[in-house]
Amino acid sequence: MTLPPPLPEARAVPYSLRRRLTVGMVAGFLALLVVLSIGLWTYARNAANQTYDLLLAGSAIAILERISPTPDGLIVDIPSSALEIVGLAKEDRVFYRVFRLSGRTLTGEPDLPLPPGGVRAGDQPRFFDAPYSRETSRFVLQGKLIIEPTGPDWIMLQLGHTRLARDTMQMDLFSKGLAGLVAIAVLGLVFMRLGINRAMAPLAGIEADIRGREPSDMTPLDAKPPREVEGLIGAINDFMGRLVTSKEHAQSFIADVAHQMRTSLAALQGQLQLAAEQDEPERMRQRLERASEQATRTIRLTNQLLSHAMVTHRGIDEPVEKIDLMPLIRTSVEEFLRHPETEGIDIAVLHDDLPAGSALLVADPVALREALRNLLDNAARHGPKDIRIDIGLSRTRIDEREALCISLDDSGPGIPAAEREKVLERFYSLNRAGGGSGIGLSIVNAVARSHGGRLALADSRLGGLRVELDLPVDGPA
Amino acid sequence: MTLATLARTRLGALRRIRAAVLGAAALSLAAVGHARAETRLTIYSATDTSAMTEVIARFEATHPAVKVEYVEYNTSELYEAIASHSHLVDVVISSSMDLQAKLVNSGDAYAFRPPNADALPEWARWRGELYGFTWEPVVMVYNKAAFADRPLPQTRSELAGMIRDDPDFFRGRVGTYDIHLSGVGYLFATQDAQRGYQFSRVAESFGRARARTFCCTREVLDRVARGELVYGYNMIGSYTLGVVREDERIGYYLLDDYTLVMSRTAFIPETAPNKRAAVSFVNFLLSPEGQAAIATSPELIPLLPEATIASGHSGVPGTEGRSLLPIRLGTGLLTYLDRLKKEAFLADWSAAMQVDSASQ
Amino acid sequence: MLVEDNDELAEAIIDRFRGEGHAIDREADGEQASELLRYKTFDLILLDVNLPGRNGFEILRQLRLSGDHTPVMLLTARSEIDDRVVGLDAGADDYIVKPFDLRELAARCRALARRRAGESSNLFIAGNFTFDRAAKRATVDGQDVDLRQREVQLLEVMIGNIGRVLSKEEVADKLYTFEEVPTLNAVEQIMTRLRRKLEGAAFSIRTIRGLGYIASVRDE
Repeated sequence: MTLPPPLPEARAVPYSLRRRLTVGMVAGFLALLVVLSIGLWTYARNAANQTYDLLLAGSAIAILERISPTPDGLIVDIPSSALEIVGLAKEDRVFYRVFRLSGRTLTGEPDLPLPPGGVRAGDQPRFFDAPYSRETSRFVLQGKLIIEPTGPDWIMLQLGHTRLARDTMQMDLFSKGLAGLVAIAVLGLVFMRLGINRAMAPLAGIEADIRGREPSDMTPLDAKPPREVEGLIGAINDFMGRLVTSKEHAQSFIADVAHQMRTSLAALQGQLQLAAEQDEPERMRQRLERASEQATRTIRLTNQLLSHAMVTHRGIDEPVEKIDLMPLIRTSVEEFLRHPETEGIDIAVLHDDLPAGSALLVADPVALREALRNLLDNAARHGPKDIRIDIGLSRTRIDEREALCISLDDSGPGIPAAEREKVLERFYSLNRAGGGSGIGLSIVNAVARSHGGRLALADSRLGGLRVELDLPVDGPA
Repeated sequence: MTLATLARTRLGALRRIRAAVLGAAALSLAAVGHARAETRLTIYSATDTSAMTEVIARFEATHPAVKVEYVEYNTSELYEAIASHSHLVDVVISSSMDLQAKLVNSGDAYAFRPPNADALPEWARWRGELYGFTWEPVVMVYNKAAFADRPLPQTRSELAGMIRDDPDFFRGRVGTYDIHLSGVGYLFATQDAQRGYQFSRVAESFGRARARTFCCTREVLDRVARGELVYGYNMIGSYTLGVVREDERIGYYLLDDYTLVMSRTAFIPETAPNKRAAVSFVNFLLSPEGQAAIATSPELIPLLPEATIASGHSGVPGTEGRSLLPIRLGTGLLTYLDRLKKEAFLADWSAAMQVDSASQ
Repeated sequence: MLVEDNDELAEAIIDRFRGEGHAIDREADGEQASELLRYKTFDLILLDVNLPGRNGFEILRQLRLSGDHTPVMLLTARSEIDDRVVGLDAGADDYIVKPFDLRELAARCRALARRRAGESSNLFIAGNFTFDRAAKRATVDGQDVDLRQREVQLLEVMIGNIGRVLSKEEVADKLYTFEEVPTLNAVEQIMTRLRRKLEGAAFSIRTIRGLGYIASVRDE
């Protein structure tokens, strides 16, 4: 099967840390500016109101002072200074009204708007905005208690002017404040940008270091990284370390494989040459038989090597599938029993403490199947024709983690305790003549390792070897 | 230009003016008949038509598409007409600065900015709506023959003192505005009242001398010329100057303590049908060209001194070095328009003058 | 028919099959093989996966789409199970991973051919064993085997699932109708009797404790 070509868009355009930071900061500053602007706007309005309310209040006092009762009636003598004081807000129009609490207008504009909530007696100034004469105007309402012959009465003064001067002052305060804020924000962004550049400088040094290296130079980076990227540098160094290890492994593997293949092929070639040199048909046939056997071993060796390479390769990718072990064992057994040589073998699967559907774990099914196949092959290959094989499935633990144990007992010859460590290594076989490539158990071992599990060899109650493959239920750590 | 009124308007002459306006409308319609598309610019003004003839002619010369309809009112009638919103008017001109200020304060004026706004003195403009375009000191006039061998009073308190000291000479021979009838007269009087205590002395002495009051500057000037009056108080300088130039019998001068300066003002009502033409007319009044045109009128003095100098006239001789007090446009002018304040002021004035209106 | 681009392997396979008395055609190019399959039918197709022109999966898919059910044996060079799965999904009947033993290939092919033959006719033959579905008659070495009804049913089930592990429960489900209450013990007993009666036959049923039963055919 051919893989589809990698999609071009699969590789996303790399994002810029600098731009992200800048965008984030600009957004932050903008948000802050908006909040501060609202505050500033309110402040400016209050400041303008307070300033000009003083004018209104002063004028109101001046006017109220000149309202006095006389025996002939009430005198309302608007002082010219009063309207001139209000007129200090030069471009604003001025309105006033003097009226009794009852509502009767004594002088001024009778139609001035009253404050929300209506007029209340009192000599404290009350300020409010109200629309009048096509504009919003600011008014002060203040009363004065007059004792008249008919009795006491509140005389109210309402004095107001348009908001031009206030709005101008508010806008002036606001724009000046805002200019300051914007200046601070811009400066802040400039400093932040400089700061980012400074902070990024070590990264550029590390990049230059890596770029400038020979491809084979895998020595750790000696940059003195800031704390924030220390982990990254550590990871890079770790990664390079693993590359070195992996490279060494690969090299030794290739050397091993080369040696094994050459040996096997040389043997095959030797047998064939011998056969070719034989004149006697019967002896030639025998030679060819042996050549054929040698070819079979070579094929098996090749398959095993490829299987090992595949398992090792797959081990890099995390197994993420949650799979049921029972069907996997079942298909493995089916497949195993299809080989004619397995006819006499007695196989049993013991999973008493694990009912169907409960042997679930996160694993790579392809690798597990390879492991099982190798275990079964191993048992069949090294044991007698009527070997008994018990596949066991049980629960266990690996360092407090829940795990499943796949065990394989056989009635074969077994492996002496002293040899057990070695057979897990590559190309160590107790039985070269029997077609042992010495790679089967090392495949199983690789599968165990890539799944965060472990492989153990022991004496079997059936008299042969017991192999235990423990795999954590929730995948590699 | 359509002459809406040929005669001076007086109190109670409103009906006559209306009739004249109708006639004017008919006339201008006839004019439209043979001209191309024209804008008719309606100006309501409390300024003599004759004083404005040259200005309007020059404006029409530079704006051929605009025909000016000039309607003359007196100041109070003009105020009533505009305040009632019953007329569609393009430009309102009046010498009564306080009434103009009140109209503007009520929000009826249209804001615009003349090209040379910054060249105008600050006291003569308000809110970008109300613009003064003349400069007219308030002067005293006297009969030269009567004062041939007596000194002229140089301050208001001297005037009051002289009247007190020589009541026979002054009795019935001092003239000033009837502030009940004349808006300008009321403005001058209230301005005086704000300047200090002397005014009450002056008013009191006027009353003692049985001073006579008149509606208009010219009435006083005529009588002073004839010798019927010897002294005229608070006369509009520009008119006076025009008369004095022609009449040897009258003299004018400025008092030492202070001299009020008033300005004729113009604004465009918010409801003006022809705002563009109106703006160009007011801009013209304030422009050097317009000011120069004003300078040609014997009865007006332009606001910008350059125009006065350029015109070859010397302005109002005798103003140099005097303490001139321009009347400021602004909310301060509204004080004496307060109903109660005005009633009280007029009552005080009448009491002081003990006027018998029979002098009219 | 053999579709294989490697000349040496092809030669070995052809020699083997001709040696056994089969007629075999060979095609090295996928495109041409596809063309040929359009108008010619074969008893069995040996199909390599990696081919010039068109890969084996595509040929297989097209073959099955056209309604051709000729048994197909995939020859795959990759030992990835994924490949095998894709192959079976595409409609292959069996697969064998290269390098392989020619004897094994031959045996697998025989099994395929047998299955085909068993499906098309009522007679199942495996070495010294025959079973006539219509007559419900089995013979070993030409001798009739005396079978009870249940044993015949069981034999039919197992022949139909050669090479596949059937659990006891699955066998019981196939043997008994819905109303009958099967016991796993009964299945065991029938199985034991059947196995005894088939002793010495090339067709045998093996027990895998814990998993179930699997039927297989012994070659020669």
